[in-house]
Amino acid sequence: MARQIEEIFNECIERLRQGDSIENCLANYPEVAPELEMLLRTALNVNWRASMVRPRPEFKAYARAQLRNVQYAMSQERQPSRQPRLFSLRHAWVPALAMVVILLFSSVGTAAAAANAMPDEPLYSVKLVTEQVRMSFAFSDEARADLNVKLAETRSQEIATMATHGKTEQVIVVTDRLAQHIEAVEQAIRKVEEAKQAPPPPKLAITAPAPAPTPAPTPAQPPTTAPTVPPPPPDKPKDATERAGVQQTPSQESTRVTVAEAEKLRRTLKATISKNLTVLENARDKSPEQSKQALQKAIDLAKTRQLQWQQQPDTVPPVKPGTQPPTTGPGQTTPNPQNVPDSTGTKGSQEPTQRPDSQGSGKTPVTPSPTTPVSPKGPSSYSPPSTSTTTPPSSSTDSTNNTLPTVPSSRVLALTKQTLLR
Amino acid sequence: MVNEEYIVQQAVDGSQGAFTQLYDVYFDRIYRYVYVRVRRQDVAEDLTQEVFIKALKAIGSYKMGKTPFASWLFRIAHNQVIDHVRKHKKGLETSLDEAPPSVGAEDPVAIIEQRFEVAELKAAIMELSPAQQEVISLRFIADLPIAEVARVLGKSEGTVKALQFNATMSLRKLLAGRI
Repeated sequence: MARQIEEIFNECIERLRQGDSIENCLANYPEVAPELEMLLRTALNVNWRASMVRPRPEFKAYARAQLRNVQYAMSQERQPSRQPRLFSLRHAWVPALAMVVILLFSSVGTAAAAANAMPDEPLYSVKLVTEQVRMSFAFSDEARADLNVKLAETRSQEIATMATHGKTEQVIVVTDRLAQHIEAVEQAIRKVEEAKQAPPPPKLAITAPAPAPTPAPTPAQPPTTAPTVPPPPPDKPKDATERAGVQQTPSQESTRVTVAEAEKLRRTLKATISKNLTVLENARDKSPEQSKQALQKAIDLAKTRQLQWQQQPDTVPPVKPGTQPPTTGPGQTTPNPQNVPDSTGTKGSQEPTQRPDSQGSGKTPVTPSPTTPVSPKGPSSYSPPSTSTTTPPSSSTDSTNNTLPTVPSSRVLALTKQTLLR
Repeated sequence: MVNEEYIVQQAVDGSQGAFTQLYDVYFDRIYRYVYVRVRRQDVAEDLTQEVFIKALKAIGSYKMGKTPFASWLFRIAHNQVIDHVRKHKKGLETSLDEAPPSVGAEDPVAIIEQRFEVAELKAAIMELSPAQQEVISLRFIADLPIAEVARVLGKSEGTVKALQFNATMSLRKLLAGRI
């Protein structure tokens, strides 16, 4: 009997799944109808109660954006099978091929159309590919940094447009890309910082002895004076280094060149961030409610970077010959890449990009604001206590310490995502 | 209307758009199943996200025609839940300060009522044996056919039917007066 009612119950459940009614099932099995009815109503009740459970809309949007990130990362990973050949001849035929592709695109107007494509449009992927091609033509660090600055401006425009159209998901994804462009520029500057603070080579006075004119050489007598430094050319102005009696080495001169580039990049990046901020803030009033929160996070990201860069001096002081790198050099102020949250948002060991706490978790996120810049204390409350990606506040506020901002873009992005889905 | 089999085939062939369609179709069901199993919103969100990322990475190895896609996906979810339960056995206890579940209603009174209904269901399911919980979750919450439930759990259909029947009998008593 028990076996029989198990079968009947299961058959009726299947019938209910197909759209049949309880009454029809009971009519077919009058001998067990009372018990069967209670069982079927229980099953329907369980199904009905469970149907009330729904994922939070913010979590759905966040999870979808994360899925996109993983899809993008996977599509990038599929490319390495071709990379060895590409890289081996990178400077030979890849740019030429890229030029052909660009010409092809431009000839049919695709690239032109794609240039204005927005993230929710089919041609947007063409736009991203075109940008990658442009990046492949940028052979120097400076050129790549310049291009990243321009692309950061493009991303800001896209965020503003998407927010205005209520495309919250695209706002989140493009904010991620914006942070990556800013990070790329900062890395270029960081490289210069590291080169600048490397120990200088030995002084020329030791390595470049010049024969001093002596009136009467005495072969038996050993030289008693140290080699002298030749005088600088008369048409070349003496700088502080030379006035100090030490000749500048070629490596120091090259460092000075790159420092000048870094200064230029600093100024450009600061101007770009300010411009981006204006664009994003202008879009805030035009955006529907559902996108305002995501847009605000992009604004906070720009504001945070702006504040941190405002704390940095515009110029990089020249390297004093013979001085050792300062104790608060890049090795200390630059976050360890292993501890930096993954900008793609995939779940890492530190889980910094994990979706924010759900309601009622008791944690109060700190949203960066113009008056309250992101400090190591506030946002790190989302991170595990062991995460040490930040530096003491003194190092970031010291105006004489010419180091990069202490909070990387990827970290800020992770915090932005966390506060977004609050 | 494009049938699911076609979309699955596209996803297996590497179409990201097709996988996104499947994601949209199954997201709520997977979340609901995971939530009822782990009974915590934050954990359910983490695990649901991991289920789809794992599915995305493994979709290329999915064999069409061998297993229904829903079974394959819920199998991943089931394994995720099992792994989590093994690692955090104590964490499954429902605490009083736990965040209430997100429900579909917008009216504050309806929200409270629905949360109460869900809380009762969670409490009732906690009284079942682990095997019964698995069957009820897959059968009445994930809404899988009996054959697919058996496939996901690696049990015979007869065993699943018996577990389903006994679990429903228990739930009937536990939810008495509330049905």
